[in-house]
Amino acid sequence: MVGFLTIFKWVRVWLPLSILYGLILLYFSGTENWLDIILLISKLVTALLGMQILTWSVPPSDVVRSFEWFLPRLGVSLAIALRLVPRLEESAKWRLETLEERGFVESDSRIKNLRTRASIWPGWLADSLDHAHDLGDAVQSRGLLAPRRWRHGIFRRTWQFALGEEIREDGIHPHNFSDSVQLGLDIEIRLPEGRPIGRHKQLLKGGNIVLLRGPSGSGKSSLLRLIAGVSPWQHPVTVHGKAQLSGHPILGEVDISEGPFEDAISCWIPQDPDRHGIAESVQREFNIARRLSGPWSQQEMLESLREWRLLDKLDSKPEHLSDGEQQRLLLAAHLDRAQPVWLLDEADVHLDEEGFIQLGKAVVKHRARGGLVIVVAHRHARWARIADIEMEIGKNEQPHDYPSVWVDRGEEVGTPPQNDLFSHNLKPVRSGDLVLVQGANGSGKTTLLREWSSDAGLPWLPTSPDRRLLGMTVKEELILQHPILYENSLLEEDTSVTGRAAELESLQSSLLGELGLSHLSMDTPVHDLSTGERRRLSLLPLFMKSPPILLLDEIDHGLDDQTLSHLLAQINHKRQSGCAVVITSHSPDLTAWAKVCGGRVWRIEMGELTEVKN
Amino acid sequence: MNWQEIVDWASTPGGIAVWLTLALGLFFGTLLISVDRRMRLGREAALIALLAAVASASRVLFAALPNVQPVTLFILMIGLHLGARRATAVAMLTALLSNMALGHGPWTFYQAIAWALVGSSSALLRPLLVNWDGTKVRIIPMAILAFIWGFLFDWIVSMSALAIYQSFEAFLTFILAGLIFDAMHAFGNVLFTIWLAPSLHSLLWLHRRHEAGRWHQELPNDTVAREVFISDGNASQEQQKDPFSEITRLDGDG
Repeated sequence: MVGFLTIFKWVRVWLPLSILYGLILLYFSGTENWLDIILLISKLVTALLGMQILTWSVPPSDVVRSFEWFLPRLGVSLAIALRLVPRLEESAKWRLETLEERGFVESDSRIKNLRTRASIWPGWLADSLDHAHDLGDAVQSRGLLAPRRWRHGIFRRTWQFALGEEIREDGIHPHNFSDSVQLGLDIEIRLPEGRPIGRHKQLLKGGNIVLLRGPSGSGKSSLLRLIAGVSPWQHPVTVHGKAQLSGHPILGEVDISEGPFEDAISCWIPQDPDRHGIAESVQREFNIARRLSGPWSQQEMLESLREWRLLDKLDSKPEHLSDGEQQRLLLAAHLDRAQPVWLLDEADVHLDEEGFIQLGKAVVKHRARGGLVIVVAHRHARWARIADIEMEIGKNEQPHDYPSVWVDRGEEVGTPPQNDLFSHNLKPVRSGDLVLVQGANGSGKTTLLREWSSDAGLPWLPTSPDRRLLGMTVKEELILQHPILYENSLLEEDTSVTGRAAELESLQSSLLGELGLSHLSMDTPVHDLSTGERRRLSLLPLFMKSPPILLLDEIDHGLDDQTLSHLLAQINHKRQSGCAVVITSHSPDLTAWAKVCGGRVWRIEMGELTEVKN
Repeated sequence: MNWQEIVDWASTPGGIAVWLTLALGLFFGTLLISVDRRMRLGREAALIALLAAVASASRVLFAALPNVQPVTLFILMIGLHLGARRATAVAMLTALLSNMALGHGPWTFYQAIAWALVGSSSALLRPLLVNWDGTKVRIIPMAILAFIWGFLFDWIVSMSALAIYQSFEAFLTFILAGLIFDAMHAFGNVLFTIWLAPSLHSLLWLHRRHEAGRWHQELPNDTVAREVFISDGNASQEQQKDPFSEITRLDGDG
């Protein structure tokens, strides 16, 4: 509804402009026409205001819906664009926050600050492109570009439209798949230079839960993307061979290598839920999901939201939900019972124990219906209990023990914030301390780190590494990790690097080696790196800065055991050099590691922080 | 109404406004339908959405500076890389999206048409705007084109005034009154070209290169030709034997 204040703001801008325009017209056409000109201007202002009120009154989702009647696929584009606008804004905010955290905006010169801010736009746009790819893949895998299947013919639909009735689309009803579901794979995934990163020759039958294991970069996600019918080259790879799916409710037999497909050929829940939700509201996410899988009913949505403990988030915008809540929303809306094959790519990483139990129930039910569930998980202890088949990709390495070290605690370095959001009676954090923060989804773990960071001026690392990466290529990113390095890069190329810049460069290159990143080519686009590599690259400026407390949000997200244990060794090293470390995690493995290292475990519940006694 | 009356009406300001608008609308409507029908990949839909979202956001960001905004340059670059049809789709979505924040009016339609023309022009003039292998943008021709479009764009959008006032005099007054704003748009376009065009070009080029795969092979012809030439050259170099290998020394030292 348009309020008085909104109209006042509009009038404040447009009325002076219209008067100015009237004066210009008077100047050119002579003062004898003043009555005509006043009439013309008043007609113009009235028409503009009328059109503006219409714009304010029609919600964007209605615009999308009407657009879909004439240009259905561009309607999908418009829906994605509406979703992207606030995310672009959010991504820009993250980047500016990162610049501030790295000390880039301390200069007195406004021009310099402006130049620095302007230098991050290619990285921002590259990240946005990557984000758009993710949304595009989500659209593709959910079959949103497929022509609509109307329940009734054109005449009946016209009649329903004239009577103002709901026009229903047809969908696939959930059913038992019996033994018809089979997935035969005979494919090889190769990198651009021809090196194979995955060879799969299996026949997987319905009624099974398959756990796919392997180190980062072994092609697990690429395989799932291929089966989901979306572009397998999230990072540039090519696929050779054949993959056959039988038992699809619409297409029957599908040769997956003949993709892409307009219809959804499986139910794919990808990593990073904040990058794959399409709709601008919780309700519309359900609408979109159910548009293809069957008639949408409000009751069904409400029941599903209650099961996934999201009922109180019905009116929230997805971008205002925590990572765990966004993950639960994706699962609640998009776990499609009509699709025979479910592909879960690290779908449990952000879930707390209760959320995982809910997911486990859904997966076991799907298995009982005869469906096939393929799960990719790095922390596989949770899945091993219900998985029927375990498939190993890449080198068959023994599970790594996380490196544990006992560090003597030193002097006090800080305490968590106490404000309107958080209260506690915790002992202060001391140097060498290791603190693991636990809590249910939405309990405020990330908010705690953010608040702590802004209160104490400490840098922190969010779950998604992309939020702390500024450059388009590795070289640009390394330059933008410190103001002195950036200043130095603006000098003439033949100027030799001396003083502080040389020290920083040497520190940076030694840290690159320690974090296992020295092999990276400087021209590689940052978004072509694996999640683990991006995570370590985003951690580098924190290590360069050596703050008294390292605040790390879900450090294990997207990392295989080997990479994680390597990273934990680095964290142990920082602790030994006098740095305290605070980590949030849902992983039982990390909790065990923290306890073995003599760390403290905190729990957040209703804003109250308490220490969990061993 | 007989044919002669229709012809007479068509030469009046109102008539010109109507037939020109209809003709352009039909032409670009056809392009839009064609984009919609050809779209098979979610990534294509998302790319168009992203470019429209970025262009709209940049327009809203620069709203405080009268008529200075980088959308014209964005659309020029999109036309250059993705062709006239997709540039038309981005133009239409940009006009729709940005005016959700800045205010819709009769100009929304004309803005969409004008930006579609902007994108089509750079698609047609591609050989003049990029270097021989398409890896670099030529700044001077691009800046000249962006400068010209600074004025042309505003005049096309002013066609809404022709439709409203139905008088050539009022239309000319409208154009004259806006000349300073047109000049600001044109100079803004030149500045944005110098600042943004090289990195935007390399980003879009890299993106296209990255995306070229089994399901989506639409690399520029010159790039494909160059790569084939280079790989053939490498292969023939590998196969080339030592030119002296079959020569036997007659003095018996070999």
